[in-house]
Amino acid sequence: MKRRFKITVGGKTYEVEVEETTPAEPEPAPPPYIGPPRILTEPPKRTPTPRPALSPPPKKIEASRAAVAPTPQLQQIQPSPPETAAAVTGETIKAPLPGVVVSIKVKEGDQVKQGDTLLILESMKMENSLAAPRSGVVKRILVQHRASVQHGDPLIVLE
Amino acid sequence: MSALLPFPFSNIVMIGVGVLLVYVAVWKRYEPLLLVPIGFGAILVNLPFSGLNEPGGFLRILYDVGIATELFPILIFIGLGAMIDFSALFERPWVMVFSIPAQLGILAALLLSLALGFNPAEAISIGIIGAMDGPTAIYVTSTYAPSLLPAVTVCAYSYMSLIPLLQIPLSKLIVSKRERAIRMDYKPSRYPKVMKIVFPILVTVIVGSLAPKGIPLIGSLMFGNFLRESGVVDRLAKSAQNELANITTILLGIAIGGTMVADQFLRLQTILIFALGLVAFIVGLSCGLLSAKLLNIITKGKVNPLLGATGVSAFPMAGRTAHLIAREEDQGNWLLMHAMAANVGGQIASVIAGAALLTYGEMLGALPAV
Repeated sequence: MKRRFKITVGGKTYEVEVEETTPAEPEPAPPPYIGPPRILTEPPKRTPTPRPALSPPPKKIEASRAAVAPTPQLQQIQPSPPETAAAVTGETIKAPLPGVVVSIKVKEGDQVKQGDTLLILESMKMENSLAAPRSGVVKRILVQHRASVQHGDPLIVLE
Repeated sequence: MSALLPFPFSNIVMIGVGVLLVYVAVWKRYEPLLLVPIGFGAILVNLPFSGLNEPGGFLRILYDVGIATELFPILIFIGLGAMIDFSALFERPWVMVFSIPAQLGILAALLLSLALGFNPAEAISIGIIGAMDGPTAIYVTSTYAPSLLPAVTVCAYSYMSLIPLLQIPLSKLIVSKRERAIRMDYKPSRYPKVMKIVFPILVTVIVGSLAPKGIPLIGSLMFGNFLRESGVVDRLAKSAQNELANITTILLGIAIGGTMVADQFLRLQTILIFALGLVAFIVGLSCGLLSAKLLNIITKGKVNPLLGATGVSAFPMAGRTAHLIAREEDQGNWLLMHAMAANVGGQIASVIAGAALLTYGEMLGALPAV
């Protein structure tokens, strides 16, 4: 099911096409916040997965459902230049297939061994685990949970 | 009071078969969507005095309305068409070449059945197991030899759910370790988007004019796909994918289960049909693999021959299995897109094979039963 969206970010208009490759499922409700009061600086997360504090801005705006949702805070998201991945030293793990990131198993800064599962990519309704090609430290995670990626898109930088 | 013990042994065996089908569906997850209703129907119909298969019994009504008329497989095809995304195939249309040899299992089982003394109508119905496609098998069999429906249907679905058990050893036997490790370029070719809309109509017209008796099959499949790709009737496409397909699956499954009465199922010929079906699956998979090996030689090592086994229908299991075999030995080998493309190609090819058998079966002396 393809849907077209027009998104204006920082004065630039992007026309994006979103293809939903998984059957629609109800978005999980955000977990109730039970800590001390805080000031919301970003749109409430739609997924209960914990996100690393230094998570980069979504590299591909069309990729993130949360970013596509018509929230007024959308302007806060700055588009990052596409060179982000290349600018970082280390080995970039690229998407071997088009698909949706259904689970990210590591956090930035994590030590991983060769063969450890980094993330799970759902493609053609099949879940594929992406393993670390070698041992190292997860330097950057360039995608978010539920992001849809194209073949060759950078996913994770290992160092 | 002998009527209290009217439980013929054969009925107990058939209830056992029903329980077995339910067991493998629930605990082994083999094609549960079909084997649960089929198994339950088989249990129901074999309870003495249930009368479910007598005129007026609800399983008989479902059979008369949906299977004797061939309506249910057609409705399933509308739903299936709405689920299939052909874009991976459009990006690499050459993978269709595997679909033709992969259908040779049909021919093998058909000829072998004739040799074993089945009449042509029965031989075609047994051969169609090699199409590895449930609705096609049901449609063709109910046209030619309805009495074989329970055996053919249960056989086709059982082997389809067991496809990894056949595909993995055959692939490893025929394709060498070095060939299995071949990585294929991911180079999707671009195609005009209008293709997606034109394709279902074009296929229907071409196949329909070559094999007119197969129009209900290919036409309903492509109608469902057109609902999906036209882009203007999302509501209808969604209903076809979900409600229509699900409701029809329930009714079709339980009605097929209702045909599993002891005196039709517990025969030597059922065992023969299962054996012939196995031949059909093995020949189909092997021919696909061998043709891919050949293509690999011709292209000087650009094609991973594991793809050959995905030219069968058995969608999406065959495609996934090929991908998993390749990844098992090399985590970085990603065959999935190619395998799925070949697998949807196989889906089309099996329907075309069914259409051809419906249209040209008479040349073998097979007359439609109805």
